[in-house]
Amino acid sequence: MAKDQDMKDQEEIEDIEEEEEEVEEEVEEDEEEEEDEEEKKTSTTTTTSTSKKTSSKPTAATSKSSATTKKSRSTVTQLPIARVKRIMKSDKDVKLISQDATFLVTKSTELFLEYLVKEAFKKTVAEKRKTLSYKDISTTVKDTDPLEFLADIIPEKVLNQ
Amino acid sequence: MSDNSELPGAIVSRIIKSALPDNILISKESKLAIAKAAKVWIHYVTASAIDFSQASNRSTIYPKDVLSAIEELEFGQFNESLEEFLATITNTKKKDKEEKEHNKEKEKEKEKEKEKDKEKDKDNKAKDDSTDKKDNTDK
Repeated sequence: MAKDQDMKDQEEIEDIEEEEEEVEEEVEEDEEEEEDEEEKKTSTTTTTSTSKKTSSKPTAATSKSSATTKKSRSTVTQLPIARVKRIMKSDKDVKLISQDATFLVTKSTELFLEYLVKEAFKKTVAEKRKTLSYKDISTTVKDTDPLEFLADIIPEKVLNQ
Repeated sequence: MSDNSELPGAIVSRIIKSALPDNILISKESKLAIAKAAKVWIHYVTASAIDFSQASNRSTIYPKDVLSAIEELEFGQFNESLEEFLATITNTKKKDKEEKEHNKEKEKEKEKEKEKDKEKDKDNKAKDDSTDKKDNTDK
């Protein structure tokens, strides 16, 4: 029986690997999308990766319309799944990640961002300001227990001067 | 290459803006801090999910590991919408598969029809040829 289980596991993992190859294809598209956006923002950048894909890039006149159609295509998540996966894989202990697990982490990151911003915004409102400042975020991190893991990268500012 | 391991700033600020009322501004350093926080969150969740997958002797991270990890990290409030999200993507996947199969069947039918048409064409041509020959002989 144990052997059977092993076989099943093996099959499952193989399935996942196949899925991953599929993802890899999507990935390329995602990256193109990003590059398009980055290009719009900073037209003077000379990144190495963008030059590779110049052939597949739409002309400046049509880039806007194509970007919007691309957006409607990836309605699943806002953040690029490929990036998230790369960040996950930068952990040495990670061996395999199922496709759905990557989707979940990506979605959870979006939810987390929303949560963090909304919590920090409460501080902005309390002080009747119209700009969400760093201080709002750092105090939120300090005051909220589950956000303790951010204490090192978003420290409270030591007084300037 | 550092650019490739960072989350794209444009998308992050779009998410931030959509979480805030329209008339609110965001300082540059808070944007940076939030983007950094998102990256650390991914590492944090991944590390915890690995613990769960290893605890059940697996080397693959499955969705359930991610959900348990988020619960463990005291962000269980996310899980309801995450489970909904998971359900929708599995549904769309199923639909995609069904559509693909449907399309394949349709293509097969089309090919069959094409072949039939070709055969018909051949027959017609043969007939045409014979009639042509007849015409020629008549002349």
